[in-house]
Amino acid sequence: MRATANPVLRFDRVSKAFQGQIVLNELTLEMQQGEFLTLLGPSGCGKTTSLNLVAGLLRPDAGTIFLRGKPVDSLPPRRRGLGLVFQSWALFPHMNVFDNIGFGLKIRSAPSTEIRKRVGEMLDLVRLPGVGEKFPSQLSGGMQQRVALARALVTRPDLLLLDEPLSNLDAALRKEMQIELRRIHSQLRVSTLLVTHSQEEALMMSDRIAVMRSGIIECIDTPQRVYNQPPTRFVCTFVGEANTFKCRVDEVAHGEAKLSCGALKIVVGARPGIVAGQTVVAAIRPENVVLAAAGAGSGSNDAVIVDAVFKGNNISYSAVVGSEMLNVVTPPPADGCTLAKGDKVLLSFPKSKVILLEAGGVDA
Amino acid sequence: MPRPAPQAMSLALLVPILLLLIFFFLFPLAYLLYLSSLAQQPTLQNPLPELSSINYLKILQDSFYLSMSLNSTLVGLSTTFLTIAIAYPVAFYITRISGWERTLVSVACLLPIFVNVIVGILGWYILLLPFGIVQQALAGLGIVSGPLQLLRTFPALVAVLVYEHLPFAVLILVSSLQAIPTDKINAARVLGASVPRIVLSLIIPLTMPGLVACVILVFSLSASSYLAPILIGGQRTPVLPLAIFSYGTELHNWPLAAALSFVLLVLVVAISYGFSAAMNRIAKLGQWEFV
Repeated sequence: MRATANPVLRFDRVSKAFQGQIVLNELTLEMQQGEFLTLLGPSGCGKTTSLNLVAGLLRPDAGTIFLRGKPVDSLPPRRRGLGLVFQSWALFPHMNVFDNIGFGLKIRSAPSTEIRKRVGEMLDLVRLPGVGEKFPSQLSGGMQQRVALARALVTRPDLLLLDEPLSNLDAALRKEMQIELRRIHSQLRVSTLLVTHSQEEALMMSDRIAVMRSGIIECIDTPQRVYNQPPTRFVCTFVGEANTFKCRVDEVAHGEAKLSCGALKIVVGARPGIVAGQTVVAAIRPENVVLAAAGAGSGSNDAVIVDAVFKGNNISYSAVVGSEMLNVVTPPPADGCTLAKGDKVLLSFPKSKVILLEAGGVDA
Repeated sequence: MPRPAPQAMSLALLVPILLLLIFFFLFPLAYLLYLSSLAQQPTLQNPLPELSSINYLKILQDSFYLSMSLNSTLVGLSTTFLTIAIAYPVAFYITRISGWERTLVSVACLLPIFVNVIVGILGWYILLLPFGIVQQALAGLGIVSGPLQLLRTFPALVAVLVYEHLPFAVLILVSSLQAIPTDKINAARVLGASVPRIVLSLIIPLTMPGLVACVILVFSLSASSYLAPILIGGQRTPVLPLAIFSYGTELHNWPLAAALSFVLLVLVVAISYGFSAAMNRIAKLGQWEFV
């Protein structure tokens, strides 16, 4: 991305191993001032390790981490000027909400009037006015989460680290907190690094997403580009759902490439490097497959519905073309007549919606 | 047949311990109280002597018994303080290590439990004898010359009691320290807290239940210990258990022995309760949530 003069955080070929197991492999990453960056990946991909390295709770085996342009490898966590919200929130159970939030200020020997003022501001920011006297155990999960956020923000950190902060909340509350986090981020413009395994959370909240796997960043880009133009098969299937096919390139002509996978035919826009006879992986997201009644158009694939699942705001079909099984998601039809098992349909794939992945690029 | 209510079921689980306590604790205790308020030892000729408070008056008016009570309290308090002062850092260290190192240190700490108490105390007796190993070592280093009175001193008694109770304190404190989630410590580190700050404002308050348990256990056991005072302390440091034993078995004055037992019981309960109440207040116990 744009090489700005002052990234708030920079990883320079950072490696970390635990008992011989490589967790981070020469990770390089740059995060801009005010940015909301998400490290997204399955468990064990190294995202939490990266966060702990930034916080100073772990030391890198090799490479350097820079905060505000300065290497921080020799700085203890308390000198790094960070805010951190843990998955468990880690509130202090023997202190009330006021003392929890004021902890970071008290350590810095701030005068008590200042502490009172700033804790009050934080409680307003996270919309919890008047709970200062309560103890964490008297608060709901959502409220504890807000207190943890306030405690991390009260010292005005240069960088806010969020370690799966929403995964202990139920679905409704999680949605609410996602919106809250976005609001607080846009209000304070504090650079925020979020670690999550939830692609929905990442897509919804981030300015940029770094998709991680096995200690490396597979892809780093805006949510739209990560979702619509994933560079690898892993990113494509980890972020959102996708039907993937190993196809043969049959013909490249007139700016189009014709692919086939058994009985399945796909047409994509030609691009450099695609030549006839080659094997490529094509992917299409379930909501981008166009489904039509049998006998309605050419260039399509004849398919048979094998399963239909009604999900309220959409219908999810499984369809087969030859030996290939596809997932298709459509809005419920206006006439209420949904297709049923055994129905014959036509499937087509809009050229611009087909994602072309490297030939044999990444394993399944 | 209707199923018994869950509440009744869980109460039923208490029955064995309740029976045990009633027959082997409450009943003897009541009998002891009765015994302590008899004017004289029951005999065949006079199996039911009159009730009186003479034994308690005797204790309260005699400075010998009062200094004995004070000794018992001081021995208990010094032992408790030293035991915790030694056990806390050790327990902290044990929670920070792992693997064979941890096994080694833990076993070393617990080893005294596996040795019979009398054997352990006699070991100390030999070490502390005049011209014994401790003195020889100190003399060899040129620190002391001439005979050294170690046995029959207050510090020796406290040292042996600390040795005896240290493993229990370490055990309790390790589990208590272990229960502190690492996240909470890390949260404090990132918020800017230094190590002493973390210990004072986080670790000690969060281990307060364990500390209170330690204090109650070590204080009550050491204040009422008999073996170490008889073998190490002797009559130079007279404590209540020594007097209770001699009145009960040598002088056959059971009523006075019973009254002394009650004084010791009240001392131990009052100090333990007072301490835990004060700590609960300070640490706002009862409002915590433990993860």
